[in-house]
Amino acid sequence: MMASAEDTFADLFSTHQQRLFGYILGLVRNTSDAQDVLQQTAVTAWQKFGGFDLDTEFFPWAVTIARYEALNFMKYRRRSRLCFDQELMEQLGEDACEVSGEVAEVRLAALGECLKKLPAADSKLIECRYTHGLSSLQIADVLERSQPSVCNSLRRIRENLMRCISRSLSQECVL
Amino acid sequence: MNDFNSDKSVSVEIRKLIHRSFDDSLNEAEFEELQLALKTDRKARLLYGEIAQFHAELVATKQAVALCREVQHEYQSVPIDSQPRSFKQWLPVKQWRRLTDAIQYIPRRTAASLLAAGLGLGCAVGLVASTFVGGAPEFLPVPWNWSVGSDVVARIEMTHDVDWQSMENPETPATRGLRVGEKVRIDHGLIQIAYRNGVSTILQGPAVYEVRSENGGKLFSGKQSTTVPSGNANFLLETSLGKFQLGPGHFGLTAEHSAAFRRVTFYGFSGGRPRAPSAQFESSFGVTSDLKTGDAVQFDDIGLVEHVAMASIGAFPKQMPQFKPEPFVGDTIHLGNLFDDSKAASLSDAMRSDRYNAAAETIDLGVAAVHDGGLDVDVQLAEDGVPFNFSNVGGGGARVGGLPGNDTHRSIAVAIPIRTTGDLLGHHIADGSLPKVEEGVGIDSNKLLTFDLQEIREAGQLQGRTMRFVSDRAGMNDREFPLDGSLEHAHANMIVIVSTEEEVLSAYLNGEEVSVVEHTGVFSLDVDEERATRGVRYGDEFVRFDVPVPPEARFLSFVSTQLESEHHDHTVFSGARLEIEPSDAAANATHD
Repeated sequence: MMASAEDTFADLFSTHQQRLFGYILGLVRNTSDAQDVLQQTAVTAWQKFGGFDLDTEFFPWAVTIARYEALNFMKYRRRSRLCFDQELMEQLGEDACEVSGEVAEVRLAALGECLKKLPAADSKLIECRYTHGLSSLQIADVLERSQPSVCNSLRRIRENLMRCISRSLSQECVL
Repeated sequence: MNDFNSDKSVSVEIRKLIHRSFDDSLNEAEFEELQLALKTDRKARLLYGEIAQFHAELVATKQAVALCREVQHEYQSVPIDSQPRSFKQWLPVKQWRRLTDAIQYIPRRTAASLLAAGLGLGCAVGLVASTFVGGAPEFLPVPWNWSVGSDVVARIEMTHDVDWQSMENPETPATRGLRVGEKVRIDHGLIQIAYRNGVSTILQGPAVYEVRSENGGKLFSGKQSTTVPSGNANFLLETSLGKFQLGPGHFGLTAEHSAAFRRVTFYGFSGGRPRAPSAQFESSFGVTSDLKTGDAVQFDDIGLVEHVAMASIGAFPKQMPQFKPEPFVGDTIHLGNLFDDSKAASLSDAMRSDRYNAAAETIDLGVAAVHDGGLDVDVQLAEDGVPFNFSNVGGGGARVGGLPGNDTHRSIAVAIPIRTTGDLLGHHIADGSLPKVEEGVGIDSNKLLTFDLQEIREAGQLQGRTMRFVSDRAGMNDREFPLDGSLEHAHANMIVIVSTEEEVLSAYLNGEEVSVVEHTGVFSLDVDEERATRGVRYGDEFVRFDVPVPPEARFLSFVSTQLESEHHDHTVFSGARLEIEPSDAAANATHD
């Protein structure tokens, strides 16, 4: 039985939405804004899905839509007037397309394991930043620390996590 | 790309800049530096893309884990009756609000696909669609029958075994009416606060609560249950960690606050369908959480969801303990004996129990108002009583800092016990050899104490009964030896007023009935200067009060004013009591 267009789109978008979100986040550098752009990207992609050739790759097609949606977003609703130029946005899109979606899924699984190994204080910082969406300034207020200190800690934790993921993937010979 | 950080050709400065661009706002120069690096250095750009992707992974992972927890929680919550209703059953559920947000960002079908796939993150639990039938429960507003000023937004409705916190000074609100900014601090017992709009909240001591608006308050510490009637605007309940908006329903809240930690726990007992959002919490840092009927949600020291379990209503009464209706069979009500009894007590119980040196407070049975100082301006005899001005009979002077009490003058500064009967105190009280007998009411200069006769009658089923107020021996200081200055100079007027909510029925000055006048709605004693300044002094100079109290009388007020500017001393209404006139039926039976 042929899958409906709705089901096909849902399958494709859910497969790639995580990578799309990462790409958009690189453009707008704000989680909430990136979620807004991702939502609009999904809406536009569905509206244009009739013109999509199923024999071609979905992700580059969706990245193009996401780039335009991000441009529109930053033109009308951006929080910061600082915006990458189109050339860099395209370059970032091309880079994103080079990453295998399958590896991205394995990375997520490895990340889950690495997060469990974090010290409690680091885990709390990650909770504040990513589960609850607090900004570094808000976290600094909560923890009575300076904002640069919080930013440094977040960077250190992320780098440790990324190293942990690399080690984990190396051991599993995914690379 | 997966070999993170192996290429050290990206400088430390650029790596830091890349990370910071996701956590902080860059200035224009920094942004340009970043953009240039990304355009000219492919390795920097790849690192940037990797870090952006890593942010996305962290967001997805953390929020997906939260989704799984929520799904598990929903799943485990279905057989409610099979769950032990204990807070030991905390589930390690973290904040779930954000993942709901995340779903909202994705088209419905996509969200459905994601959920069906369990997000591909090992969340194997499907979403349990639990359907509950039933409308929102109706709650009747707490009756509010007061005709009081609009600045009174709430009132103390009922108390049970309440002890105020000792730091409270004055120790009690002057009247039962509560205005914005007024705090209630209790060490022990239950106190019910009813808002004008019908919201009812019961504090369990130890607790500190402040009325913050006509539809809100702040729980600083303690335990509280709140009932919001149907049709009300959301009630705003603040804590040190954030604020709750409560829809119609019955809710519990605990706030623990110490130097080491802060914790708030919310309990949603009813309000709409089970599992439906009935309240919302917004932390001090803007993180919001929908709170559902049936949940007990614990927030950590920064206002984030820490644990979720099922709510148990046992610790949060919806109603105050009700006193048993019991006709009062005695013929005398010793007024000072009411000061240790809560509004939930019957009059018979109140007369059976007594506590030496108890103070009159507006949480006590029959006590409507206690003013300490400030009698040189118009003062309400009770919150819903008439305004009275005592300036022509010595009203004025500073507050003393003590409250009217039974048996004794009760000063915070100098707690000298003074009996009101004329007998020397001696050592009998100290060694416990003298049986306690209620003796009267002691009241300092420039103070007012009002009894609510309606409340006293209801507590003893004495509605419609005629009574008399009697004090055999009223005067200054009674038997305890006063200070030299007081001995020679202290000079006070003792006033008794019987009134309703609208008018003064009678007034007595130093035992003699006097006229009252009304001017622009404010009453005062109509006496000449000689009579207004006669007063009472220390010595064997006592007066007797014998005041009719008709059935329609609502309030009985005692006032002591200060006629000498520098010296004052307390006065006593020894043996202050209400004598109940025999009922018509009883009188007829006697005649027969």
